[in-house]
Amino acid sequence: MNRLIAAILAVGLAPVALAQEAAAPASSAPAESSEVDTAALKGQVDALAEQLAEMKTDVSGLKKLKFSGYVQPRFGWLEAARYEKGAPQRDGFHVRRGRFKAVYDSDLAQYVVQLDATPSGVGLKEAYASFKLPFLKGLAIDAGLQLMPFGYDVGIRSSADLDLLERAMFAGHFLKGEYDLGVALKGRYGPVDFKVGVFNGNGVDGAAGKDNDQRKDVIGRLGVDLGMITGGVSGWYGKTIDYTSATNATYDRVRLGADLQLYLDLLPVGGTALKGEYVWGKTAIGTGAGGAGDSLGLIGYGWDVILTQNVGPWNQVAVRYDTFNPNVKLDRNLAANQGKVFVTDEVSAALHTILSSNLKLSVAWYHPMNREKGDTAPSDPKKDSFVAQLQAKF
Amino acid sequence: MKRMLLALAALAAAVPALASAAVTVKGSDTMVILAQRWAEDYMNRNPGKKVQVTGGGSGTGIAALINGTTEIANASREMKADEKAKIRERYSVLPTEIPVAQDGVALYVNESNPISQLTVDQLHQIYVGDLTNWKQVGGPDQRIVLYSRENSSGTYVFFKEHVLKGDDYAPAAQTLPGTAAVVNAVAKEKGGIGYGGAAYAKGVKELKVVGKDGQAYAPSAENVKSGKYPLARPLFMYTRAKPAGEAKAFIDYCLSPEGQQLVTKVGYFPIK
Repeated sequence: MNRLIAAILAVGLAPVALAQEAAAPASSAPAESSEVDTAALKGQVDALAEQLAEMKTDVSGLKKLKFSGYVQPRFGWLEAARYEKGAPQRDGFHVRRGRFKAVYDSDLAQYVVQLDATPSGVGLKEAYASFKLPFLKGLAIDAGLQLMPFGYDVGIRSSADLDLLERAMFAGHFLKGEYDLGVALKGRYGPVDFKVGVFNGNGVDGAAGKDNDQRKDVIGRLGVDLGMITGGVSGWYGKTIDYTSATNATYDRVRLGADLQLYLDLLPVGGTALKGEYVWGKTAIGTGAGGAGDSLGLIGYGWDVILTQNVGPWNQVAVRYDTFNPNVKLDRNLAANQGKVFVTDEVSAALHTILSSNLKLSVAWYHPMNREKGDTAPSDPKKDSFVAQLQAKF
Repeated sequence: MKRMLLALAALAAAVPALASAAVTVKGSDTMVILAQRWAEDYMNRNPGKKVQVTGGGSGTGIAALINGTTEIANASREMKADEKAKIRERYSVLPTEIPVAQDGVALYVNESNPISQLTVDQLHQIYVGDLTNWKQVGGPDQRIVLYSRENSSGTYVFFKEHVLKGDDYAPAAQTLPGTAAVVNAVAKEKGGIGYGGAAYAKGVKELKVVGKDGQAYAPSAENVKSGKYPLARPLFMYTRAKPAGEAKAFIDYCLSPEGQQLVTKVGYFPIK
């Protein structure tokens, strides 16, 4: 900015200097011409000051608008491509996420729009306004399409910073879509923060935020931040209707969760983080419109533990143990359930290398295992995958 | 597959060499002169080593630390909880806070202004716009012209927290891009008042500020060190995790007797 002002002053004053040079021989009438030159110079400076004031107004307006985003091109190697018969999935290149986010900050409000553009299409992830409450310091209201305020994996973490590149299995089941339409109150008082709101309850994917019942879902998280220890408890209560049943039966959609994170300086090579989360839930979100595909009334649970170790300032290693059971009441003794998976465990590991301030290279390996099984379900489903991803961020 | 892993391992090993060409220091405008003097002296003492210093404000420096575009962030305020959380979420580490000097936020008025001291409460009323004329605080019948810093400045945040108690600045307050600009504006404007680091007060008059004991204190070394000056504050360096390598060597120098001598020369007060 200082350079810009200096350049403008230099350009603005150059004609004056040239005019003075050209007028130099006429030094026989110094008093009068000096007065004229001073007046002209003052006029030039005043004009420049006016222009600068206008520019300052324009620049300060532009400073309120910020753009950010990232792309995650990756190559996926799939074990299933070697074992599955018929038309198996194949190794290949993908763009996992292609995000573009615009944020406009005014004094009392913030406006956010985020798009996700990948070869499979362009989706709206966020479109909300956040209003600060002027008479209640520390409180704000978020209205629109926003992240579900539930848990750590979905409610807190950006998908650009995931330790294992992908969220835990329970997130894809109970918190499908990750974003939802609604209005929420959020605030922070010392080490305690919270966000609670009323949402449609169907997530942004699949049914595209369409709610199939008149009752809205209440979702919220209460968190605590003690520096090296952070954590929270989350809850969700709502309803969904089964329009395929003759009675249009109504089902509860419920989730309860708890999460804890520890940040430690144990090793000389870098910081260590230990994170864990547990989610219990009833009636997961389906992929169809109007509630179709919802796991109506089924109770399940999932949890994960992540150990992340920094190695110097540029490298990070992470391992995760992830468990998910979509239906705790599935009777393994029934003939109809033979071959069905009861609980899936997954071990995964990742290595991240920060190549520059906006470039990160990651490799990750995922090894799903079926812990409890029917007679014909394999203990190793042979669905390992290996991912190499380059993330460019701005 | 093995070849790919080997290539990735080689790339990972090469990264530190690519990334550590110079130590980058960014942030507080209050600290920029001090940091530049530190960098010059450090590079003179250690030929071949390079330290790049830029200002922009404490908020800008901390944002750069979060985004990974600087190794050290200078800040004239403490890092906020949400800023610490961003570092934790992005890198799974706790940021490290290192106090490197002490400062007193000085109040500047024009040299022609007969006022010599104010209470924190009076400063609060002046900066939120409740008091608009110097005669309301015992001065001449003259309009008070407020000068402030941009909201990316740590001094802006410190002043808002400790003097305004979280209230908003008066809309009439003119924001200027640096402490030098504030001093310059106050030196020219008879009714002007501004704030900034004690090291910048040239051509303006520094006000004493009334402490909790009812006594007025100037932002002197003695009063800042003893904590009697009500607007005393530490100046910090922040790193993403525990300092390591060249960044650690530079910070160690800043905290050394030689580095702390420069603190005094620049006009701030040593931490030790």
